[in-house]
Amino acid sequence: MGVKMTKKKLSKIILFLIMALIALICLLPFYFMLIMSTQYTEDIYKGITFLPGRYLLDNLKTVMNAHFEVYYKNSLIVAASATALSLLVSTLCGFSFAMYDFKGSKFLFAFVLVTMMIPTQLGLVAFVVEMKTIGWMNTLLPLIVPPAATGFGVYWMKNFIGSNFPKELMDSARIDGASEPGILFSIAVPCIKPAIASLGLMNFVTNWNSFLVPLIVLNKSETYTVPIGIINLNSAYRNDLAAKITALSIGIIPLLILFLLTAKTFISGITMGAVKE
Amino acid sequence: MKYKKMKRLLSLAIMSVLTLSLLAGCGGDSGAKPETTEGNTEEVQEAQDSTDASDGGTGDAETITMWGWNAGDIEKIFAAYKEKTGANVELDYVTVQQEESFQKLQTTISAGLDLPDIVPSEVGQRGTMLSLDIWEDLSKDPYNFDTNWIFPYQIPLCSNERGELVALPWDVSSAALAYKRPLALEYLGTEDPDELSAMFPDWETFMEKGIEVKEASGGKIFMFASLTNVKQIMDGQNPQPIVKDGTLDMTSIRETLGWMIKFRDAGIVDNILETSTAYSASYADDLHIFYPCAGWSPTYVIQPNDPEGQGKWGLTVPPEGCFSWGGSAFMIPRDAKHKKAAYDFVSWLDSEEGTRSQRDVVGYNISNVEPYKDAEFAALYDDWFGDQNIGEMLFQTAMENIEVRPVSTYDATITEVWAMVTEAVNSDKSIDFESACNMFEEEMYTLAPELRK
Amino acid sequence: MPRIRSETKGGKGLKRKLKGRLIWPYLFILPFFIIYIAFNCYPLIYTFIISLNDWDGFSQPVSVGLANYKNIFTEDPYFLKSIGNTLFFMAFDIPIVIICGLILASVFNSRKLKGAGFFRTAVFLPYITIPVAIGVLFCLLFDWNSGTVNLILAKFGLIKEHINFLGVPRLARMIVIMMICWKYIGYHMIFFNAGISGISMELYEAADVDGASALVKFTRITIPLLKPIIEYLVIMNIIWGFQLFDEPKVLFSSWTSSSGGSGLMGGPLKSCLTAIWYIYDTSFGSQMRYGKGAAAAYGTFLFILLFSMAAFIVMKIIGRKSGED
Repeated sequence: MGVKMTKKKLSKIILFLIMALIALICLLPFYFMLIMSTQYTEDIYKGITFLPGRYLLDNLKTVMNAHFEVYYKNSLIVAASATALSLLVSTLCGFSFAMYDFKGSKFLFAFVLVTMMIPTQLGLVAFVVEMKTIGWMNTLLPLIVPPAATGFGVYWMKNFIGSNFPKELMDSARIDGASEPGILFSIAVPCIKPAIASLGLMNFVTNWNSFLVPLIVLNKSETYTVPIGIINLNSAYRNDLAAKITALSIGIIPLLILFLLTAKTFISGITMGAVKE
Repeated sequence: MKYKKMKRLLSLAIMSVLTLSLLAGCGGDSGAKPETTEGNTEEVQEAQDSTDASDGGTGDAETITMWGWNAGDIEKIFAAYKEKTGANVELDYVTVQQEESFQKLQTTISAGLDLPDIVPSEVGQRGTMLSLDIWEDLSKDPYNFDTNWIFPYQIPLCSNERGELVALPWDVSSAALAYKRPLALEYLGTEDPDELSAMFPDWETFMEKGIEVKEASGGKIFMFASLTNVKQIMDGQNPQPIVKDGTLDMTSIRETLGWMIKFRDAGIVDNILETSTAYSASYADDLHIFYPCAGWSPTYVIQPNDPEGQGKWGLTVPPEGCFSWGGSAFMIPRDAKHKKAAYDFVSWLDSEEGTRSQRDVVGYNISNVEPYKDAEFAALYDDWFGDQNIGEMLFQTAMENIEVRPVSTYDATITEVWAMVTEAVNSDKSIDFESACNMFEEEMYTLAPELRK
Repeated sequence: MPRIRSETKGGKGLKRKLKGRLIWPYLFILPFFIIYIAFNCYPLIYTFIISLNDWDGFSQPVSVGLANYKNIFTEDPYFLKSIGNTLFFMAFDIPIVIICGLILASVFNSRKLKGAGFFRTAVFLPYITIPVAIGVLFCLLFDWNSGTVNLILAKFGLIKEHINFLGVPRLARMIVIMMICWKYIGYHMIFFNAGISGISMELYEAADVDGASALVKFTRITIPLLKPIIEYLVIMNIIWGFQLFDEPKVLFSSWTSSSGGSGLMGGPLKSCLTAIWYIYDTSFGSQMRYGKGAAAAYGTFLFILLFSMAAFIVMKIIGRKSGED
């Protein structure tokens, strides 16, 4: 009995150590990133070290001289409004597919599923031409409106609402005289908060990190977002890697905060919405 | 029945999309649904022709838009320009990464966006950029740029294949060979630039000496840190066109690759690629002797990478003479909105006054020939090169025998293929001369099938 | 007449009310379809038109029929190579992210582990990192001459000569796979975590009573019950796999070059060239062949369809077989 107990304890400790090692591997690059943002570029070239340097302030100065606050503001606008719009579109559409049995709903939902299989990058060239035609170049709109329609968002919301929002609730609300949008916004939305939180976080991450489209549609420095700002960040004479990494660290912070704040809701949202078929 | 309704619904959706884009579209005359791609290019033209006052600037001052990777310095230069000439202009400087400037130009053109008034180009993609039929010919009316202002070698680097002068050079790009004095003294027996260039009349002798150095140091000391450097120098010395009359001519490639592989096999070049961080770090070590060095290298590359290297460096003429390396030039798009103001600024940069002023303000060496006739101006001292007059070598000695290869539409492709082959030859020692040449040739044909005849 | 079937049992008075309601489902889905058709469908269709032309983006397009398709399938070896590379990456990273994600999720859910919440967060964090950051980091870590990994290995005497991680095709691919796994294992773990917490505890307790080992519980309870999630993630991974671009692109860009040297398109000997990278480079990179790039986009789409269908069928067959057991 005693041997068994210590054996169990030992396996627990080993498990813990293995997991700690994995967590370390996952977190180490973040640590490196912070360390590098305190160093001088040419020192980084000699190899990554584990100890911080003394150049954090200089790097921050370079970043700020490059009007990083403008990029930051743009990124916040893009990520926040793209996420909000996308949540609205996905909730509306998902609610409709989950709650109503209307003509063509099967076909249209199948269409949504098919859209998930088509990478948007494939139409990139034509997309850029289109943006020009409607005068959206050098605005933040191409980063906000087009990403609002994601097949995944609709699929996610449909699944979640379908399995977490009882149809009976709808019927009784109707008898009480509620309108359809009324039911959606005042009764269904509160029920699906976790789904909104988890989808919202995933959307926010995607839109904040978006790289390819802004690289092409943004041409004026006052419209740059954080990732584009970072690659265009140069101090007077050189390709300042340390300053870029400092900017990257700053660029990741909002996501970190957002994730740490919503981690619980996020995970429970995914748990409740996980594919159940 | 069901199908009909579905159709109606879909057409309703499409209709509303079209109305939406019509509403959002500019004026609506362009039509939201171009039936052919042809229709679209016309729109591109239209949009560029129409003057749009989005960046009107303040007061009466014109605002010229310029791309580039010299933020910080350009503001100082521009302030000097305004002060000296009294021009009533403002500058909107958009930072563009050097390696992304070509791609940015392409997307801007194809998306029909407004091009800036001044577009920079780096030499690797120069020919491809110049061959686009979108630039003003600056030797013609109303510009009439006087080519006697600039060094003669720069004219082919700024002309397209139709012979039009469509770019103006910025910095002087003549280059020589920098070396670390302590290493040269220890392993080559001298740190004197003249003795060194006398020691290396040609690359053959250079290689023999390199092998001696390698043996004397037990394989620790290399002549170059990177095969990329060997390519840069030898390719720069070789004026033989790579694409001639629409066909690939491998002569110059074979010469350069031949040396690269000989050097690699002799073990006189380290295996560091220029894109690696280790390359930058190598400037400060005491293992690699030689580096190519153009006028811009001391401030851009040597000083930041070897912060404690004052007095450590020397500059000599490489075996078989000086060459041209890097350097920027500016183009003005035909559809730019402030062409005259842009030209005034860019040509001022190349004027005698501009060249002198930029030396004062930011320490750049610009391309007007006049100031360099003055021995005092042509003399250039740099703390990293001790009391050596590196200006004499770069601006006078080098100019005597510099020969450049005319630019070509295929420059961007050639640059890309070089990067791939250099990396392959560097990583895999089993690739011999013939297979490297074949790789280069095949890759060129893959990217540009029309070159195969 | 559209009709809401579930509502038809209501009385006659309800019918008029229902009519007004009928429009709502369509209104609700309208925003999605408008945006999708305007910004995704339309470019895709337009891309097809471009693919039939030889076009550099601004001069007159020349109609060339199917020549661009012929070119990418029979003349230019790199399109098929890019598809091959993409499949190679998928062949490794899909099993790894799914298996590791699954194992981590079940470990984090076992009561044996203290601090599971922390570990879960730590493992998920790579997913939210800006891709550029990962590219720069991996570049610095795996550099041939000055990379931290090489320095550490050499310091402990594990290697005599530095390993050229990013220069040898085989190793470069391995690094790309590592990047993908590092980034996406956490994402998969979260999904499996969700699935596992949906499994009733009683099942495990019953198995405990039968004296089942952890391994048996994992293979007999966890995996079968998570089958729908696994299937979903496999299909999605195939689709995501074909979209791979950011990670290899940033790994071989010249972020770390001090002299502004250009990056290496496709990695050493194009061993890390992915389908989207190929499209991107053909249309926006060293070449400006929009027609060819567009044709490659459709070619890629063809492969996506082919492989996700194949995966779907294979999984159905496996599903049926295991159902017969």
